[in-house]
Amino acid sequence: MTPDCSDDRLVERSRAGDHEAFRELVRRYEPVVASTVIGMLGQGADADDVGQETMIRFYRSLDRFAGRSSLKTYLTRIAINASLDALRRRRRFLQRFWSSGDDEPQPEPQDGVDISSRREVHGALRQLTPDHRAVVVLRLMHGYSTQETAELLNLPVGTVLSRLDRAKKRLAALLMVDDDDR
Amino acid sequence: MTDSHNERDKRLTDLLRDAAAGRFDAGFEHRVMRRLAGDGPFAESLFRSFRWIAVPAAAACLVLAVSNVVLTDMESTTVVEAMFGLPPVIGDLALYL
Repeated sequence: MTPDCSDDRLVERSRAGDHEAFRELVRRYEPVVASTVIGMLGQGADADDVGQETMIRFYRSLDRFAGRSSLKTYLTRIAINASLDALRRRRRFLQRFWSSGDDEPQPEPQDGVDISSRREVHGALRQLTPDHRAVVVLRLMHGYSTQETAELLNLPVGTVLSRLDRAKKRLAALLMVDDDDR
Repeated sequence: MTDSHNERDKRLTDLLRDAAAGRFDAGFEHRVMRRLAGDGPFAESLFRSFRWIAVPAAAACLVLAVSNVVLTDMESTTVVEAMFGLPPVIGDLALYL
């Protein structure tokens, strides 16, 4: 499978049952899915599992993908929904068996970025509610506009703005990013 | 929006983007394709399905076993019997059964 083959062509071939074409799509869009899912769940086996689930959901919905949004946006939407589902499942489970506790796996270090900084950032993200975290991941990590974030999460723009504002204040406090107005 | 808010937002965005993970552990595409083909190792799929249950269940079993041992009068029974909450096997009981 040539790496310069267009996404549209790969989608078309995947629909026709070409697994190698789909493998190339997985390889190409792994970073998009990884940054979304790991941003939501933290690094670990659970995130890997939800990443796989995202790709499987994508494969099963290939026939419904009409190309109205970019493949990146389409996959991000699936990844964020799969992550929110996983967080709900985790919360339900923990409520059933534990009254409290740290429900999130600790991020594992990776090459390239200062480990303490990565840990701190992921630790701070875990302090946010899943709804606020989703807004932060899409708006600040991925750089989607407020309008696009609202569409991805099926929320009014005003809700995105208020969640983003609260999340930013909380993150700034947790990460001790200076804010002279406080 | 003040300058200090803009500066704060920029620093937050930079921190978040630097911390964003680029990839899963090596072999992600292989794991996806294997799962898609439905031929993942049995133990792996079993672990995936039951990992949220298995660990607390094992912990609960351990707690119960320890509490059984602690709460049982060890003079009239063995550790194994106490752990599983078994009555001591004595002649009268064997005849009764």
